[in-house]
Amino acid sequence: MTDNLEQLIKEAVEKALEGDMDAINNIEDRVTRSKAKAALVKAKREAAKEKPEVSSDESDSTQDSAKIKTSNENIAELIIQQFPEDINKDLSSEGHIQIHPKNWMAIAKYLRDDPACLFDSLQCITGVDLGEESDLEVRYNLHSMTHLHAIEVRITCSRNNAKVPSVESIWRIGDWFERETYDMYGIEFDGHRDLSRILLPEDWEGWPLRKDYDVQETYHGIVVPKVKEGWE
Amino acid sequence: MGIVKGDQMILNMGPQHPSTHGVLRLKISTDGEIVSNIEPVIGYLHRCFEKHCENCTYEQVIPFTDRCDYIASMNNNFGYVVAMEKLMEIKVPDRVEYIRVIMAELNRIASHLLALGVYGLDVGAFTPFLYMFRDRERILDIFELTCGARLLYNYMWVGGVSHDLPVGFVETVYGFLDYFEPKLKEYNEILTYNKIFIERTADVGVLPPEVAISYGVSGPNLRGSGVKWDLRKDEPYSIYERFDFDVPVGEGTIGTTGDCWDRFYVRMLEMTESVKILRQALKDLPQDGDVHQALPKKIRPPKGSIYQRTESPRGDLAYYIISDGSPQPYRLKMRSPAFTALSVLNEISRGVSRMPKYLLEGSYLAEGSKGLLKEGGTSRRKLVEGLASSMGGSIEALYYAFGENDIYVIVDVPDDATMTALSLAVNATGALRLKTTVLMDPEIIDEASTKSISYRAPGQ
Repeated sequence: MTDNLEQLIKEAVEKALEGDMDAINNIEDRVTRSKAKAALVKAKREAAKEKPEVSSDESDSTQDSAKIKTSNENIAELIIQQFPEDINKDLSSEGHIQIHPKNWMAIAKYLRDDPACLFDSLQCITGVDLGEESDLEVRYNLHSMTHLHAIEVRITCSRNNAKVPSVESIWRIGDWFERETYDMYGIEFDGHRDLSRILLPEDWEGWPLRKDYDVQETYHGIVVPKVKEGWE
Repeated sequence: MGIVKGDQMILNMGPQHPSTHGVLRLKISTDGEIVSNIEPVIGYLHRCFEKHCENCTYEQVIPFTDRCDYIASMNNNFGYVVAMEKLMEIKVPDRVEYIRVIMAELNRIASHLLALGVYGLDVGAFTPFLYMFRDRERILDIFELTCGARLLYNYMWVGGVSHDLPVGFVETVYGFLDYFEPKLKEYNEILTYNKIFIERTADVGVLPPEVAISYGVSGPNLRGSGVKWDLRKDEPYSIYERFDFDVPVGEGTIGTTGDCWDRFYVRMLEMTESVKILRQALKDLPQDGDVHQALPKKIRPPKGSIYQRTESPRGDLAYYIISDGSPQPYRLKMRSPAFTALSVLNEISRGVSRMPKYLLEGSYLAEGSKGLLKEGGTSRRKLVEGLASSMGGSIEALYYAFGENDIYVIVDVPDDATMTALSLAVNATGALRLKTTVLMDPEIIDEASTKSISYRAPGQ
């Protein structure tokens, strides 16, 4: 391609961006015309990429997330001050606190009742398998309807003796969430009144969401299909 | 009138409901027509969503989210893509955001229409069901026009949507809204203010706000209890902060705040609000723009985790996604609003007030005292609570005391026979001697005073 043609395309694209599509359509050579069109699409895409950075919404949302962040940091600070021995400071970050399971019940009560925290709603309990050779983790997402702040609490427990105190009596939804986590990971919640499987049948074998789970071959004579690895 | 009590009857409902609204089994204990306990048995529709996700790429998860709730698939897609885009810090073009909001709100109306229609059907109103399904079909037609599917859309993708809007889309939706708005009035006339419907829903299943929050109930069910909470307003995601709409809450217009009627009516009002949002979104919808623009070829989010909540028609739908940097999610948890809403069923359907109260006075024998010291008071309390609830009752108060008796308990138990069984079981252990007194409401004394009884003392 000669410099001349490049120059032609560049000019046509610039004109098209200003709204004059004829500048491209009037190019006589078909190949040059399609090249110009491709260049136009590319230019538009780049313009769209740059745009959000300068738009006002973007700055608003970063402000919002900054606000939430500071309130989360404060909450984490507060809990660390209150229970200095139960928090693993090294693993905690602005978004979450990592605690030892032993005193979880007392901390949970504090989180719900303290006027500065008032986490009245337990949003979610997520079980996580940290890897075949390592531990299991339970993550609690708490939210306060009064203060509109949120925090994540993480508790790690060993794979072979997975036990975490139950908070079912503090947030009633803990009942089902804990049963679900028990069902999928085999994590036992000490003090739960009725810790039984909730989604799977009572007599199912193993803990399906653990990374080292092997599906049982048959269930009451029915062949259980294997999970296919790596669907692409 | 005194309280007539009969035997407890266990009634099984489901799991195969004749009209398959969903496969759920309820073990209901009833005394005549009064429910004393409900135990929901779930899991019949468990389809290993979370395990599947760990073996799929991020794009392949989206069709699964459709199937998690085929009544409001758009909203399920929406929640997932919002979470993914936040995790990957992608900003999607305005046109895409508007299209998504339009789809989500249309789907919210469709979902509410189904909810209210079959609700009416279940309490015995057949006509409104047909009306609502007729109108829901129009929304499904719009979806079919857009992406070819009626229920399972796979429409919203990370960074964009699968198809651009078809020619004439905006006019079609305007046409639907103009048609739909007067219909809301019709529904109200035929169902909402129908006397039979009110009789069957007002003052039934009252859900107090603090109970709702503790059980994680969300969405219209929570708002029915008078809690003004809507993620679209309170924690706006996507572009919801640009729209002007109200958050309707239950006010106890007909019965008590938080009853079945309020939950019904909140959904009715929410459809009006969705129409409001739709009109604004259609007006501001940018005309041009590529809907695939920000679409990455292969999704590999950075290492990290995200918990993102969105407001689906059922309530708080959240995704917890953990990424290890590979093209497949390391862990994906879906926090379903219906799961939490179902857990409160037992709490609100129990006719607790119908249960008689008993005062239990217990004194520990030597062995029992030793055991108590070893186990501690609170753990014993938990055990007693468990015992009472296993018999369909509950503990009102439990105190330890000095003096003649060691423990005082006030307990609600379904009937005398259950109470006798409980007290026999405790006494048989030999650790505790239990004395039982039947407690009466002041109303019963009032009632007694109105009865005239002639009695002659001996020798008079």
